[in-house]
Amino acid sequence: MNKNPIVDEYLEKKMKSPFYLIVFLCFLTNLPLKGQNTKMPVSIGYFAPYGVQYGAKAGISIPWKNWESDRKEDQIRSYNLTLDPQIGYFVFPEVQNNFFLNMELAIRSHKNEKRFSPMASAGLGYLLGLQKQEGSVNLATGEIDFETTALHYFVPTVSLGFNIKPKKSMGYYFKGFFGRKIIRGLEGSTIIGAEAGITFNINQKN
Amino acid sequence: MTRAAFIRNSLAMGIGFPFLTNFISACGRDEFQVPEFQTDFSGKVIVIGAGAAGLAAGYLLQRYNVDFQIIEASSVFGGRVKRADNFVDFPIDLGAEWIHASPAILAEIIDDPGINANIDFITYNPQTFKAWNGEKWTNHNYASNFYSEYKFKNTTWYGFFEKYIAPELLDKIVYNQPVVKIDYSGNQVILQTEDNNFYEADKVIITAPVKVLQSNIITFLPELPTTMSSAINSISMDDGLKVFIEFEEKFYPDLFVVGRFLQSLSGDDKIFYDAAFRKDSTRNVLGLFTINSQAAPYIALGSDQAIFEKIMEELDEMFEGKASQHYIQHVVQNWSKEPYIKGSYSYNFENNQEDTVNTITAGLEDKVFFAGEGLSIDNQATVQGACESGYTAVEKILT
Repeated sequence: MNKNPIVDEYLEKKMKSPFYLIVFLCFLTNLPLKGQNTKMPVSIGYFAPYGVQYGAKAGISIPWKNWESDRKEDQIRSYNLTLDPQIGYFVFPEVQNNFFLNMELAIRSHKNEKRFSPMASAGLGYLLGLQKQEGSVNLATGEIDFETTALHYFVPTVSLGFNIKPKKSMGYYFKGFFGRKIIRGLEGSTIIGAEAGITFNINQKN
Repeated sequence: MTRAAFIRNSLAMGIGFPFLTNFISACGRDEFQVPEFQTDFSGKVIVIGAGAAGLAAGYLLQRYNVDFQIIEASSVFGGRVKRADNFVDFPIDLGAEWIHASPAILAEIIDDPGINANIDFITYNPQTFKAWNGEKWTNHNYASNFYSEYKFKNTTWYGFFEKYIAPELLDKIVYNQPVVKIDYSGNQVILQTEDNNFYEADKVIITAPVKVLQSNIITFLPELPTTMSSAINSISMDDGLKVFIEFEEKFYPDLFVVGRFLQSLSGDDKIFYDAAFRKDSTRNVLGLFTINSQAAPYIALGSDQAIFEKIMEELDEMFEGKASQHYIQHVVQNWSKEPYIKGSYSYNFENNQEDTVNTITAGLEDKVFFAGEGLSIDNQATVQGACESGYTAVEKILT
């Protein structure tokens, strides 16, 4: 194939920013090559902080380390340590819209080839809350204009739950989480809730 | 289910769903519509009471060009909607304070598409919550993530009525006329006041608080049917007290209670709160709102000064003397002591609420009707509920 230096130069410039993203993704997807399990389940979940707020999150489980324990005969227990980056949104209706980025370190274990695996995780996230602190109501129409204030929180959490691993393509998970919303200059608050969702594999190299 | 009960149950469940969140909104606000109808009514109507229900009734009667008068026992309009103007640099609601619904309810109450006005409000979503158990504080800041209501920012419920409802009614209100007797035995209803003044009308709407009706200040001729008086007596309305204290600095959380936190929010309320929260003010004003059995010990002290001193004593114990150290001024509103109100608001129904309300709002011989916050099924114990019941009573008369 003939090379065109002008085209090459254009592509080099054009692809520069996506290039770094691709390198980063390659880095992430290469992480599991160090372990035995190369599946990278994607999860999509519905969750409800405090029982009255609700939202959704999406994430991916990046295998970091796998090992097995065979202390009991005929019962090999596998352990998977994963890094789970997540992105999500939840709402406190009429009061606050929340966007967050979260990174969890999760451990899952399962016996032999069983699909059920209990899980525990610890995470740290950044949460952007857009809070409707005040507003104005038009007395003719009842229309409301809210003024929104941005609030920045750090949210360390711990979770306990279980996974039903994907049999072919889809699995499920449920977990409860507990943590703290930490905000500079103000008192923080406890965050507690539950999450349920589905998982599916996007990369099966085995 | 009440809002408080719903919150308790939701927390117990630990997980919510969108429909439940919609339900919590429904607990705070129900459909509210000013009735529209055709009428050929040509008689005279007297409204007893110039509180929220009475003013709303007058507002609708005015809209239909009905001949009416509002007879008020006290020297001011508003009833349990009352304002302290010059206490600090923002007006304070001495009575009804929170907007227990979306602020859009204000437009629905006025129901005037031609009006050119906006009202500023705050989202009342306290961020710091504490409970005092007699020895130490416990934090309950998690509540900031599920409790939220609205309040006026620069005005009050009284200011709202003063500006948008009352102006057209001022010349229709007769003050200082406590009604002591209602004679509905003839074609006309005859009202007799404490000063032996007499008023006649074809129809009468009574908006006096439930406690006033229960205390038999007003006698009826003929006597109230047993079903009616039983229904009235089956609604509980007990003590009510609000106190506002200004301090040099804010040493208290946004909201705090004495006792168990969730129980305090859902039972007989006694809540201390930052009354200046999100207001345009740098002043520090602590409010105390307490009703029923929680208010009774204060009311029993008698004088406003004794009540204030008791509260300061409690605050000093909780905050290690900071209350006395930073005190500037205070105002006490003892609703139980108000001779034509006698308490806070309707709270509980001995029997089925809907049956009770329907019995009372059915009225007496198509001549005497009742309205008030306790007689709204969907918005009971709220200002909009009082307005709704006032509108409903007018609709009954005119249709």
